[in-house]
Amino acid sequence: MSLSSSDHKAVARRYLWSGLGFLAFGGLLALLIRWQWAFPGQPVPGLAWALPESHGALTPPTYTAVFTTHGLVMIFFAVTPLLFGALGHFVVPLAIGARGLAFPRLSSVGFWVYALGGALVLASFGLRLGPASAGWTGYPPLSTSVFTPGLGQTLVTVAVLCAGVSAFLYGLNFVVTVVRCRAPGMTWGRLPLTVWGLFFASVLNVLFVPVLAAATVLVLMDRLLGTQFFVAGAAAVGGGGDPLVYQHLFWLFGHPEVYILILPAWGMVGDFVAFFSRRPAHGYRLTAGAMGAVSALSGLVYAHHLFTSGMSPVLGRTFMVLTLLISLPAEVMFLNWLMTLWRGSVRLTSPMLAALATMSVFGLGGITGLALGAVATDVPLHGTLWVVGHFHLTMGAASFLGVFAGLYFWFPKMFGRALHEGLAKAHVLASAVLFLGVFGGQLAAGYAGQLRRLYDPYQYTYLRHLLPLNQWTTACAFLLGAVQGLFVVNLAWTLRRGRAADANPWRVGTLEWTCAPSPPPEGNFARPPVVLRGPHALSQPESIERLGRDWLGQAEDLPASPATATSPEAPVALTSGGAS
Amino acid sequence: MSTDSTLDPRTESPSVETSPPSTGASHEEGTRWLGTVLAWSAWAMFFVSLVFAVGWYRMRAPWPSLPISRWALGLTGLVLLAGDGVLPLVARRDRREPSGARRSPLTPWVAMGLGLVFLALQATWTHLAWWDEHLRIPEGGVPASAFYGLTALHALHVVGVMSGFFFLVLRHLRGADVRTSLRRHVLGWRFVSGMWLLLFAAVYLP
Repeated sequence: MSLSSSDHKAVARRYLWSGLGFLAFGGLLALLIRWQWAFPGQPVPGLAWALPESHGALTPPTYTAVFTTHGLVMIFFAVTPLLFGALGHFVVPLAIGARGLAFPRLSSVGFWVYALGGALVLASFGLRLGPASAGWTGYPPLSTSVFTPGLGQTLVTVAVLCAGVSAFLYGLNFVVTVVRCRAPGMTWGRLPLTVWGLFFASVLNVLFVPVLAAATVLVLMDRLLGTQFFVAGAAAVGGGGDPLVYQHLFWLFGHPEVYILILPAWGMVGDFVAFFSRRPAHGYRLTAGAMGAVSALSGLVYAHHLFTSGMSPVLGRTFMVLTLLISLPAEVMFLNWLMTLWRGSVRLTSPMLAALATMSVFGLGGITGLALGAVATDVPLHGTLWVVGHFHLTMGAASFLGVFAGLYFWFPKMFGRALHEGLAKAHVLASAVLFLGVFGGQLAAGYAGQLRRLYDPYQYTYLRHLLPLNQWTTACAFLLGAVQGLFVVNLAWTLRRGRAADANPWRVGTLEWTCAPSPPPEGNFARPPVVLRGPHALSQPESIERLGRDWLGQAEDLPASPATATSPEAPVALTSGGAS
Repeated sequence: MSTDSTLDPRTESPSVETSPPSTGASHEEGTRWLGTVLAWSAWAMFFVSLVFAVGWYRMRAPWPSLPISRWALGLTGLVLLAGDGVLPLVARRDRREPSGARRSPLTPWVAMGLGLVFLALQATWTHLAWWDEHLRIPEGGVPASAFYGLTALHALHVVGVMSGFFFLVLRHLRGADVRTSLRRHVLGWRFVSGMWLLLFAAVYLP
């Protein structure tokens, strides 16, 4: 397929391959960090070619560059592009019955801007003084030329700006597409929950990415033009600026970013628990409303990242209350998912396993976040590995598993071939268990007081007893890296020799599975579907009686009389759920 | 509890009134209009964030008067505000032209002319501030940084809007009917003039 094609499916595939590439790159960097915590200062096997002067051991500057690049690559160039760039681009038009995105060329331009950013990050490794090393948040004054004078930090700052521009463009595209390009009959109440999740996350993208852009541009001006927005202390000239302003701007974007990363996954979980429990989603409107409430609140809680910055205690209390409030709509959503599962005819397919795993790791991440939302417990835990474990569970593991839930679900639609289900299940299960091992270990180490980003934590006597725990956690991380091989093998095998996928392998009624072939042609649908019902018409007695199957397409007419014969696509393996 | 997923007879007929038709030039233009309105509205957050930052600094320490008269700076902004009044009228006149008219629409030329005047005046004030009044960065600290930095960022947006009009002229020369695009491009002008008001209040006023 042409690299200049602006068809949403072609753009999605471009984002998919580049996102997976950056996921692998960021994952390898994570393994280097884990190695350093398990075997501080010892040579990494096989890395001597890259670090000849230290015989393959991470030096403090290299270690700093590695954890910086790991964080920003994972967030800006792997997980976000996979959720929105790959899955969002692919699913949104198909799921709403549109022939394409509202602005096809804009999505293509967005990809190339993102690709330019990715190239800049990779190029920064070849520069004198190395790549960025101010942490993924790029806090000044560390990110100003006073502390990171190399060109690498500048290039990576520009790269973040590129990723932001790309996110703004696809966010805008998705919002307009959902508002304007829905098929006839596709009312807001008939949208799949995945589309709701992507829609709300896109709204957050267009609102808050410009804030990140403003903060990044000010840093760039400090670095390149000598302005004094964030330079303070002895390095400042003319009174100096204030680095704290950056922190406010960054987290005004950064906290909604957490929800930008998880809302699409929540939407998928909502759909998949319904599809694979063979039941309509319990409290569909409440779930969509809860996602909206979380989105609205997400812009009002950012300052809980700044409890220790010296802000007024009154402000601290206010943000604490708002932060804890956000758990209420999240609870509503969780309860709805559980109610959907309750007495459902649960099929543990790979997308369903990934969705359940997403629920589990996000649940644990959310609960550990409560301790960071309350001032009294945040103060001692701030800056420890507890924070790292918490946000890796929510933004890392949950989003990762959400990506794979979506990928396993829509892969047959994307490529027309069926992945090996056994390998996919093994991959999801092993990943979920090992995620809990890795990030659970981080939570434990953080609770014991280990500070994040330390090159050698064991310089401190009080942390020495944590070495075995960190080695155990590192073993889990390396195993986690190894089990990704299951996905790689599955992907490579399926793309070369995989069997052709069924027309509707999951037996669901959404438009992409019932109105378009796999893979869909340009324009998606032979004629625009006319939508008659919501996405979860599962195990309905009328459908079972008249069609002999437990699902009904969103644009499918229900015949007046019972089916005389069961079609091959419509097995009579009916369920005990709503059908009984 | 599931509402619309069930086979409730009320959901069996398509609710066409909420779903816009997916074809047609007017629908497409409406989509573009919505996209433009959303894009500029959301991008206003960029300037709101910059103003938040300046507001922070202004709360921290007294903000010195700029060496350039605020009346001169205000006069410059009037050029943008004048464009807000004139451009919609000119665009309306251009849209009344018959579709096959060869005459180039006037709106882009007026916009580019006003834009050039605005940029020239801004360049003059910053030039005077730097060379005659010795307001320099980094010596001038945050106020000088904000004056030059935010003025430049705003000017870049004005250049962006002018480029949009320039490409409109090019499209017209290639034979495209650009009349429907005029209204959307004028939105860009409204954006930069609105953001200039923020800039004036946050940075230029003492």
